[in-house]
Parts: sequence; C-alpha cells; structure tokens
Amino acid sequence: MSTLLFSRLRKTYAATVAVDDVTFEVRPREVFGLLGPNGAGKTTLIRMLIDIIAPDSGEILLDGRPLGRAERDRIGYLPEERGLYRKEKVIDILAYFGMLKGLDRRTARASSLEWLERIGMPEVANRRADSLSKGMQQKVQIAGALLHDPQIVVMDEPFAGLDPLNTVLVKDLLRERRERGGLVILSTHQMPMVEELCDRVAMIDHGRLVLYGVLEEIRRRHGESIVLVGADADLEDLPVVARVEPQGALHRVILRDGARPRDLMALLLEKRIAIDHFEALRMPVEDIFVRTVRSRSATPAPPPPPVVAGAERRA
Amino acid sequence: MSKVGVIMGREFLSTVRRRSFLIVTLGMPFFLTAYMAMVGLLPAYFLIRSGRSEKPVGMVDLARVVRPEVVEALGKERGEAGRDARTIADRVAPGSARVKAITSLLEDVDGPIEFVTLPSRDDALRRLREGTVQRVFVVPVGYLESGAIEVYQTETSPFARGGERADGALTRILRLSLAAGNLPDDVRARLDRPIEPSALSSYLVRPDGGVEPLMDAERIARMVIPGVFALLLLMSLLTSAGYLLQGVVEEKENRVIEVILSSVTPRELLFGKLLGLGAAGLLQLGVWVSVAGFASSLLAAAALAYLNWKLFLFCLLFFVGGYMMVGSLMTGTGALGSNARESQQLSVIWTLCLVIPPAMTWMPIVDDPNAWMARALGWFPLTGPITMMIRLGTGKVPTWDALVALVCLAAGVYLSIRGAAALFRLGLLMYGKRPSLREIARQLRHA
Repeated sequence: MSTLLFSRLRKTYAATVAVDDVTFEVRPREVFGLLGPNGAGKTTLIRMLIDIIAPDSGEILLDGRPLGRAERDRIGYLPEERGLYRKEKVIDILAYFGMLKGLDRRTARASSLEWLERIGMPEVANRRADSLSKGMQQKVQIAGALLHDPQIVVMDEPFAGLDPLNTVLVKDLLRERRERGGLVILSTHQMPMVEELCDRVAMIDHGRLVLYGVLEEIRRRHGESIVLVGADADLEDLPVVARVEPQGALHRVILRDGARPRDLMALLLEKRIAIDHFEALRMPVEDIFVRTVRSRSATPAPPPPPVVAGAERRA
Repeated sequence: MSKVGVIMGREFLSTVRRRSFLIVTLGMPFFLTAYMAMVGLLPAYFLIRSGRSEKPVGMVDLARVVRPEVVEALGKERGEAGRDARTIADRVAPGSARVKAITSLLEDVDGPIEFVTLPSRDDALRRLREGTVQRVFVVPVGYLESGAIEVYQTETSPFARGGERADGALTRILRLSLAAGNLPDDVRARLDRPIEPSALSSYLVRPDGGVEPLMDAERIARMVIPGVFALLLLMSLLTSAGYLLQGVVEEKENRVIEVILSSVTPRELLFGKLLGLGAAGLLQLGVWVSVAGFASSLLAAAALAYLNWKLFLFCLLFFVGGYMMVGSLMTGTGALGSNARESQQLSVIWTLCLVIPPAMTWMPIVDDPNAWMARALGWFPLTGPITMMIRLGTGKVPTWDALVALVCLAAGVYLSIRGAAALFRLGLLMYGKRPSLREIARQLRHA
C-alpha cells in the first residue's frame, strides 16, 4: 500500500507563482479530489507529478522515496487537453500507449482489446480515431490511461463530454481502482462528482492550498452553521443566530461562528418554542468551493496554508 | 524494447505508411527519369542529329601549305571530348556498360568535321551561298608571314554551333601540315598532342616527405564520397525533418503530446523521433539511389573501385553527427511554433546555418583545406559536417584535425539535444501561443 506525498512544492513562471509551498498526501484506497478555480495551479501540480514540469523546490515522494522511472510507469494519466492520433487505428494507438508504459507489444495489444471490451466498444478496434464520436474518443482515452493497470490514476475532468450512461461507467471504473488499492486523483469542476466519489479533497487557489482533508469533515465544519427551522417565533433574537432567511414556510437560520445546531436546539427547548421542523443542513461542496474562493478574493494577502486533519507535513 | 525503440518504430512505420511518403518515394525516380529525358537526353539527341547532318567546311588553300593527307586523316578522327571520355572511362570503370553508353553519346556529339578542298575563293563563296558548305576558310597568300586566315559564313552569331570545333580542326590541320616533312614523325605526333591523357601520372607528396602515386580515379573517388555524403545529409534533413516537424505539430495540435510526455522524457521522445524519421529518410534515399541505378554509374564505380575506408568512416560519422545535431535543433525550435507553417519557418534557419557558410567558401577550402578559416568552419559544430566533408575530399587534412572536428561535433550534438529537449518540453505544452524570448532563455538555462 503506497502513499503519495506532495511535499512543499513550489513553481513559478516568470513573475507568476503557479504553486506556492503546497503539501498534501494521497493515500491508497481513496479517490482524492483536487479542486480549485481555473488557473489555480491544479494542472501544474499534476504535470509535476508526471514529470512534465520540474518543481522549483519541494518534491513528490511515493512511500518516502522520490518517484523514479519505474514508479512513473505505474501512473495512468488522462489530461484535460486530450486527443488521439486522428488517422490511426484505435488498437494501434492504445497498444502504442501501453508500450510506452513498458508493456511488450503482445501484452499491450491484448490489454487494449480487453479494455475496449470493458468500455463496450470492441467493434472500434480497427476503426480510425477520427471516425469516432467525441464521447467514444473520450472513452478510448480513458482506456488508454488504465490499460497498463496503473497504481496511481490521475484524471483531469474525465466526465466532460460523457452521457449519463458513460458517466456511470467511468465512475464505476474509478471506484474499482480504489477497491483494488489504487490511488486515484480526480481533478474536476463537477462538484456532484466530487461529493459522490471523493474520500478526501485538496483545494488550491492562486497556487496555495486553502482546503484539505476528509470531505465529510470539511462538509460538517462548513455545514454545521446552517439549520432549517419550522417554528412560529422570532428566531433572530436568539444569541447563537447570526441571521435568518425565509425559505418557503421555513426559516433558514445561519448561526454565529462557533455555534452548533445543538446549541440552537437547546435554546429553542429552553424558551419552549414549538418546533415543527429542525434540520442541520449539509452544505453542498459547490457552496463551500464558492464561499472559500470568494472569501480569499476579498482578502488582500493570502493566509498561510491551513494544516488540517490528515495533512501532517513531513520534513 | 526501450522507449526510444518504441517511439522510433512507431515514427518509422507511421511515416513509411503515409500515402505522401509512398508517392514521393516511388514516384520520384520516374519523375526524375522523365525530367532527365527532357532536359538532358532530348537536347543530346538533337545535337547528335544535327551533328550527323553537319555540312562540310570549305577550305581554299591559296598559300599552298595544307597537306591533303592530313585533311583526310583528321576527317576520320573523333573529337577530343569523346576521346578523353573514353580514356578516363577505360581507366576508371573498364567494361561498364553504362560508361560505354555515356562515352558513345559524347563521341556522337563530338563527331569528326569533314573538310572539302576547293580551288578558288569565288567557287567557295558560291557553294556557301548555295548551302552545300557550312563555312569557308581561306588560307591567303603570305600566310606563313602573317598567320592571317579568312573565315566566311552565312550566320551572324559569333557563337554559331560548330564554329569553335571547326576553328580547332583548322588549327590542327595547319599545325600538322606545316610540320609534315619538316619534322620527324614522333615530334610531329607530339606537337599534335603534347600531353597524352592516358600517360599522365600524378603523385601525392605527404607531409612526411613520402611520395605516392595519385590516380585520377582515386582523386575522383576522394571527392565523390564526401560529395555523396553531403548530398545525403542535405536530402535527409530536408525530407525527414519535414516529416519530423509534421509529426510534432500534429501531436501538439491533437493534444496527444501530454499523454506521451507522461510516459517518456522529452529527450527520449526527441531521440526516438530523430532515429525513426532518419531511418525513413534513409530508406527513401536508398530507394531513389537504387532505382536511379546510381550504383552502376561512373562516379559510384570510381568510388567503389578506390574506396578509402578511413575517409568513408569519417564521412559517415560527420553525416550522423550533422543529422543528429541539425535534426534536433530543427525539432526543438519547430516545437515552439504555434502552427505548422510557423514551425517550418523557425526550423529552416538551421539548414541554412549548416549549408551557407561552407557553400560560400567551397573554393578557398578546396584550395587550402588547412587554412585557419577552413579549420574554424570545420571545427565549429554547426558548419563542421559539410566543411569537413569538403576538406576530407582534398586528402590533405591530418587525422588529428578530423578527430578534433569530430570531438567538437560530438559536444555540439550533446548540447543541441539537451537544448532542443528543453525547448521541445517548453514548446510542446504551449498550445496556440509561442513562448517569449525570456521563457526560452530561462528554459535553456535549466537545460
């Protein structure tokens, strides 16, 4: 079981700091979400992992050792900017990708055929890539990233352009990698996918790590401050309440910092207010994302990266 | 198989399977044959025809110096060009059917000129007007004192065909006629041909003072081997580098490059592409050379007959080094372009750097291959390959000098592959825009 550590990575392009002292860890048997707005530095981080870009400082370690050639061959990568050799046969393209990852010709072809079978496209093996639809090409590229049975899978927006049926197929493939002990790094802007698939996430903004940890914990921390209450009373006067917004027949109660739903419940009971509905809301990841980015945009100087659960920094 | 081998194999196969490659490779010999026929053989055919229907030259000898037996003997002789071609051919490639055909062609073009002796100037001018003679030479009274000759012709052009050959034939007739009876036969013959090409001997004086025979054919071979290598180098760069750039631009445009670079280093990719496309380029040249029947031609026969293995090996090494260096530089800079056209424009500069300096200084290099300029151009990696091929062809370059040039070239290849790989890495991941000069300089510093 291997652990991948991104340790104090920094990368600058002229005057722009693309990645600024970023440290996080990806563990086996997890789907790890790499989140952030456009231009945040996610692609730079991924390119450093697959050794297309060298960091100015910091390192990437697998089980405490720097990634070597053999380890990099165990990475399966689906870039955001992707394509295929348009005029070549699908089987030839896949076999070539497999051979570049160290498979011999025969194994690469056999594995390519097997994967075409798995993604439900065995009939396209001898067709030219430019004769396939965009969605089919997308699936072929996903097969290309997985056919050498990689230990680490890096997928940048793998669901873009897929119909719901194929989205389910790709989600199943990623879950299968997790079950088999692999490390899956998923970079996407589709927050429902993050909620559904990711165990832990890291959010990058302006090159810095701004959120990191187990998704449920992050959600709980951000979600605890909102409660949906059905009660015939003026709730704004309560000391734990920051403000109240109407939501249909109910009240959307935003609590003050540090207050918990149980504190509100205790107050309501103490004041003998009749309660028809009480629901502590789970804040959508999308809201957490937007709120975090907006709060940082409003702040002139970025704070130092937070060290939260599961992000112990190594020397 | 190594990753470089995988890339090399793919590049080679995908290139030789291209329809354009097959058309150019297999079509070029036929095109060249047709072209040669048009520009070379057709004029030669018409020359032969005009030569065969050439009218005689009228001769009026008022000074009574021309000997009829001399006129008759020369009328049967071939021209000098045909005779010299036969002499050289017999020494260089005896028995070659191709060589015989070439020399026969030359002999036909350079056939004998018929002279008719006429009694008077008036008679000769009448025949000239009638068109039964092409021109008239009158050797006037007092020729021995004055050396005057009158030439009559109906064409006004000073370059009229046949004029120069007729003048040459008249000179020989007069020289042999004047000598007849006045000089011994052997002196007469030598006067006609002071130097016998077949008996001409050349010797090479080595730097250590030793003297050795230098055969004509060997001298030709010395120039042929480097010449062929220089030509092959240029053609390889022009053909395979075109495919190389096309492939890089295609991979960049269709975004496959990022997947490839997740599996191999830019240096491995560059190296694999250079080798694969170089092999495809050589295959193409091999087909052209074979189909053209080059192996049986005069120059190749000479080169093979007097093959100098040391020279061959040096030329081969300069060829490989030159290809690797310029090919990698072309690809590195080509990758910086944002589209195919821009890439071609950026990369062509290296071919010009390779060719122009030696091409402009070719003659001084041949005259003095060990002068400082020749040596500097030979040792500078970019101009070295072609310059050294020219220098080595003279046979006057010491081995240590060639070895220094090879070491410089090897260092150049190493640096250019490093630099090109860095530019390659920078250019490949920049879609639709060109990196700034500052970015390029920064990337090269880290190479």
